[in-house]
Amino acid sequence: MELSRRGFLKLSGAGIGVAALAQLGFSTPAFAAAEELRISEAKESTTVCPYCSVGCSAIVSVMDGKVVGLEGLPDSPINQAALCSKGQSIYQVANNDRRLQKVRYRAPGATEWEEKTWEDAIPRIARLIKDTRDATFVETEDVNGSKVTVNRCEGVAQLGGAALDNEECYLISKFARALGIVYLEHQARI
Amino acid sequence: MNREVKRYVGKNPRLKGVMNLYREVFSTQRKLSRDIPDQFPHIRGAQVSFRIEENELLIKPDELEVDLQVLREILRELGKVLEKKGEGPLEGMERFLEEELEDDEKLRGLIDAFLEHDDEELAERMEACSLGPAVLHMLLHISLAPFFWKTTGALLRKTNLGQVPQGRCPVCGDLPVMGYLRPDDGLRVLECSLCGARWGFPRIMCPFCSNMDQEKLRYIFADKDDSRRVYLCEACRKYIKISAPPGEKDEEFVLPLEDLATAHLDLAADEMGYERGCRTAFS
Repeated sequence: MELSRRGFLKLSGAGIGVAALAQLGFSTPAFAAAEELRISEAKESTTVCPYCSVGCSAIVSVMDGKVVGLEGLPDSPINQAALCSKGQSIYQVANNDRRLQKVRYRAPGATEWEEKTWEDAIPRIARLIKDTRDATFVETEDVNGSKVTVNRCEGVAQLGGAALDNEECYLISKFARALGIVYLEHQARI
Repeated sequence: MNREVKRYVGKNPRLKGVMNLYREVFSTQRKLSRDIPDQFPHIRGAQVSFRIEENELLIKPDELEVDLQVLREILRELGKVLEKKGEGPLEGMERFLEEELEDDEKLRGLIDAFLEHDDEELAERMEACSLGPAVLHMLLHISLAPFFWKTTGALLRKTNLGQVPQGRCPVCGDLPVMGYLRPDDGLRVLECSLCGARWGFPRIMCPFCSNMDQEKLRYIFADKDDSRRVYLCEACRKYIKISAPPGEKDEEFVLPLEDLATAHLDLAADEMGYERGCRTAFS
């Protein structure tokens, strides 16, 4: 039988770092567990804690598409592996049976919530924004006796959070300013 | 060391032979290292930081002081240990220890090729020796290690290497034996197979090709024990084993023993087509 290079390396122990031991007479399979191994696989990714403006980094371990572990990133100059009690709980953002996964709606005056689809929700949100904007829009203002164009929407406010990244914040502030929103704030300014 | 060997053999009795060999080699190295004279560090303070920043080795090949007489003594003693503890006859060891070792020029050439990581030159010189290349490499590795311990000990007495994002030892340039996750903070720490220096290394990075693409990095573990992991890199197809120390004191974690105890993970990674990126005295 012709032995491939990989096969030879494995027998001689060279491929797994014990070639000298093989030459000293120690057989690799004899000391490596020879039974069939059940191998599992996982992946690590870095993420940023969404709870406050400090921006602590964390490592998320994912197995079969499910988050199975979370720890502070030791390489981060900000938190150097430490996570506060809220940061440690971000594991529950992904694994939490109380997490809302569908749109819920409570009509004005109603006491019960009802489930809605995004197809119902998005046009409704857009309608309310449009109506509020139209009702509260200020086109001009008197400044020292002369009319000045201000194009200001005073009935809607926009608040950003630490979970948003730079690009999301950019798009949201662009959108808000296009509507004329002036009450534009971010949690990181607190 | 004895306690650790006992712990590993208690868990897997098949490790008894190799663990006893390592224990014997280690205690002989420790005993003989007392014959190596104490040294003043050749560089200090800011020079150490400067070299690390500039990716320069802290001990360059020509900066290691090797007394050939002391080295011969160490080679002889360790050669006898290998003969005694090995489970098969060692051809050529006697001839190497009695005849070839006496030639200063030949020995110096072997040491230089070894220290300069010149694998081709080393292989050529090894061919000319009576010992098999793997055993000769191991003998050189374990005999030169005590010289490095002495110099590294003097050099790092007041300096912590901290985090150095490179896969080769910042002190002597050799490859790591494997790594562990520090219990305090989860920092990935690698240990040099030759000089024993330990340095921090980023968690999401391949030590062999510096790949940081998270999509190309993953780890495997056996039998639901994720305290012993094999980090695989899709970019260079190499792997490194990373374990968690059994107790809270990582200083007592003997990685060469852990490396032997996790040989089953090497076999698993090899089966998957990945190449071992680390080195030990046995490779």
